[in-house]
Amino acid sequence: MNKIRLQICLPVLLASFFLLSCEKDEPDKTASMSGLWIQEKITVDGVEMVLPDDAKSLSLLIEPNGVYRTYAKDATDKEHFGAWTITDNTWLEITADTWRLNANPLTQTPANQWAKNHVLTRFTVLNVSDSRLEIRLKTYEGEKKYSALFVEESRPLITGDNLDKINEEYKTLKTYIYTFGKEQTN
Amino acid sequence: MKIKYTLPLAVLLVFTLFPACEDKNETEEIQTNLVGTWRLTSVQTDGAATDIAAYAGFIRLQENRIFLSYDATAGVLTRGGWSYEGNMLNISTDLPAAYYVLRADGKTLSLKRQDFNPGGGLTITVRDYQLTGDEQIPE
Repeated sequence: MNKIRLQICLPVLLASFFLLSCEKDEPDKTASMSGLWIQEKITVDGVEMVLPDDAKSLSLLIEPNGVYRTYAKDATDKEHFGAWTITDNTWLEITADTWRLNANPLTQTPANQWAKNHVLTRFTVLNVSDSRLEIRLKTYEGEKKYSALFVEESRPLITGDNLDKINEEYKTLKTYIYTFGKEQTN
Repeated sequence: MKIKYTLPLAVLLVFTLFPACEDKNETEEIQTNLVGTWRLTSVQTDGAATDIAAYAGFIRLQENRIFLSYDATAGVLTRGGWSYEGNMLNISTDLPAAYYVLRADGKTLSLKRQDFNPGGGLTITVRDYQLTGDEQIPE
């Protein structure tokens, strides 16, 4: 009798395990990320930034193949792109064009004062729904300012007057929260 | 006799339910149907047809993930690679843009692509293809 019970219960338990493994406790953020998002606002340490015109109209297209593209119609460098992924259903990791100061920039020619890299940046996904995306980034002020996150700002010519200020920007941590609204596409 | 059939039936139940979690077969089927040499038959941009009567375009998606594009009108052959990831067709020569596969039934192929327009919105381009012979693309 016990043998019969085991023969019935074991497969049923196995079936339940496989079925439950398909379910997730939290909604899958990866599936919700895809679409065309329009940047609405950015806050820095809780205070809303005054966005320049080129950042007001920023479009962020996230596609399910792991590639994103941005377009800022009024910016000099209108388009940027990179890779994206969601890890632990919590973090949005993207690769983005980033500019950093070369060593001893004052001794360099203007063209060699800044170096471009394409590096990984990690955001925390605060909220993603059918209509809204909120992501948080804690980083150095200079990293945000001189990276394509998501509009690339012009980089100043480094002089003895502004070098200390820019170095300070790369030592000052800030928390940025980006809010996007979703555009319906076909 | 009753006991004899209980275990196999229960095991069968497990294996019937388990594949419901996977969409692997569907992906593999699309990948298989993408392979071939395709002739461009129509292009629609935001729903409006583009006149391609004077243009002869071909693409080939090879099983070894090599991609060929041949503009027969200009006689230009372009080579690249392709993959099917995240339910999108990625063609190395067109990245960062990629294609949504609207139809891939082995005989016809329909690909959708999104690009930014000057206003920051999206332009949708749909390209339809028909399966043709490999000889259409010179190597």
